[in-house]
Amino acid sequence: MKDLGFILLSWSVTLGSMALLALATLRRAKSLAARIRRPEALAVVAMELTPRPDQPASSRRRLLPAIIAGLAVVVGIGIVAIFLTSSIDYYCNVDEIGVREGCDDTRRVRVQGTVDEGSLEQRMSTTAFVMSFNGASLPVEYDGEPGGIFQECIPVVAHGRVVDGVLQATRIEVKHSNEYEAQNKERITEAETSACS
Amino acid sequence: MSDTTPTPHGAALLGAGTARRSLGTATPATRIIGLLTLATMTWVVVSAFFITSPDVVQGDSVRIMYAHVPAAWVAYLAFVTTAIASGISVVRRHRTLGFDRVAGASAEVGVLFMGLALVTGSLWGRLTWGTFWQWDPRLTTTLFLFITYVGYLAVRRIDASPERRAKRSAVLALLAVLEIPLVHFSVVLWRSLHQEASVLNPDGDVRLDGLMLFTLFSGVVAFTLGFVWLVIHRQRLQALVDLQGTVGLDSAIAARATEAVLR
Repeated sequence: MKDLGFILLSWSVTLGSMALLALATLRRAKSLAARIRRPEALAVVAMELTPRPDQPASSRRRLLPAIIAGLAVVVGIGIVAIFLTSSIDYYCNVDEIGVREGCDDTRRVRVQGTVDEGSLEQRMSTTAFVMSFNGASLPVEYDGEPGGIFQECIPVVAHGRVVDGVLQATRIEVKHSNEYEAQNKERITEAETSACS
Repeated sequence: MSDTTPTPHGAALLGAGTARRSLGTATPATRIIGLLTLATMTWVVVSAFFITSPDVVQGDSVRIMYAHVPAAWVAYLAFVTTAIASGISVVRRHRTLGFDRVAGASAEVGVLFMGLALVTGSLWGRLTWGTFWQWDPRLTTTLFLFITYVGYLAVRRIDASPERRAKRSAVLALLAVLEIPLVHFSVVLWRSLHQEASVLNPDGDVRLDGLMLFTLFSGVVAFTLGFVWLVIHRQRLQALVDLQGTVGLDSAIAARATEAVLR
């Protein structure tokens, strides 16, 4: 099986953490219930009613949730900030380059299109291909090898700047469609023949 | 006040007075749910790994989807449950703490599953998109939702009486749940690297093959059962924690009173 490591990791993290939370809950409930059954013990251990002027030891524990809550707010603001700045790379379809506002060739853009059949070329360390969308085409050059399931006839998103009609990509991602099809002989033939229609 | 008999609910939890060893939070109902969870989960794993075929384009990495989608679904379900329980606890005048405990327990489980959806999604993204992370609308809003509920759980742990805790966290829960439509429709609202929903999409078409769909559906059932089990247990655990406060205080006062009499 291909990529077995990642698949196994996903499943073991998922099942493992569910099981851990379940076991931890059961154990904690059991010990708590046992303690509540013997309130005398609880009174001595958990509840010391002698007045104390100050509690330096517990003040830090008390503050911790407030600190975490504050951190969550800061991180939340940070996420929004990163999101807003990273979407400065305007998201364009190939046919919108130079047409739609924001998709000019003077700025960095994210371009979405499908890799043309037979256009993929590996020159030394560069990957070159042509991507199309809605009838328009755009040649792309990328320094390196795209990861994921990059192949011809697949929708991709390329980040970069258009220079002399060629997109100089610094990053390429494969955009997966929301269709899932089981792989079998019959379907593979069908997919191969219909992939670039 | 010297009487340390737990509340009726507490007595049921402890199995007090009966010879049965039902220490803890399990009941026959939760045992059945637990067994059902194990059974359905086993089927999902077997089907995801050995029965379903690889996807035409994605190959084997599609097997991650059978964990990723149910985890995300349960996270939504959990946060909506939190909001509903919080709403009830705000509207009702009496006996509202039970609903508050459900809200808290559900959020705890929801944070776990949201985290799992992020981790499994990231691994799947590396295999399929070629990147672990991307500041993309769906991914960003999901992370934001996750952080929001981490904050919610922290707020619940700020020192306060159970009543104040309930009121405070209910307000937050009712605000936070508004993020869910934003996350779910982010793939439709913005241009996103993340694919649109294959099942719960606006045009109502299901874009999955038969057995894949069935496996995904069983995954949703299995994860939901696990969610129900966890929430029941964790809200009972919270009841025990609250009870510990009351019982402990009562008996401590009783002990001091005895001391005073003896002196």
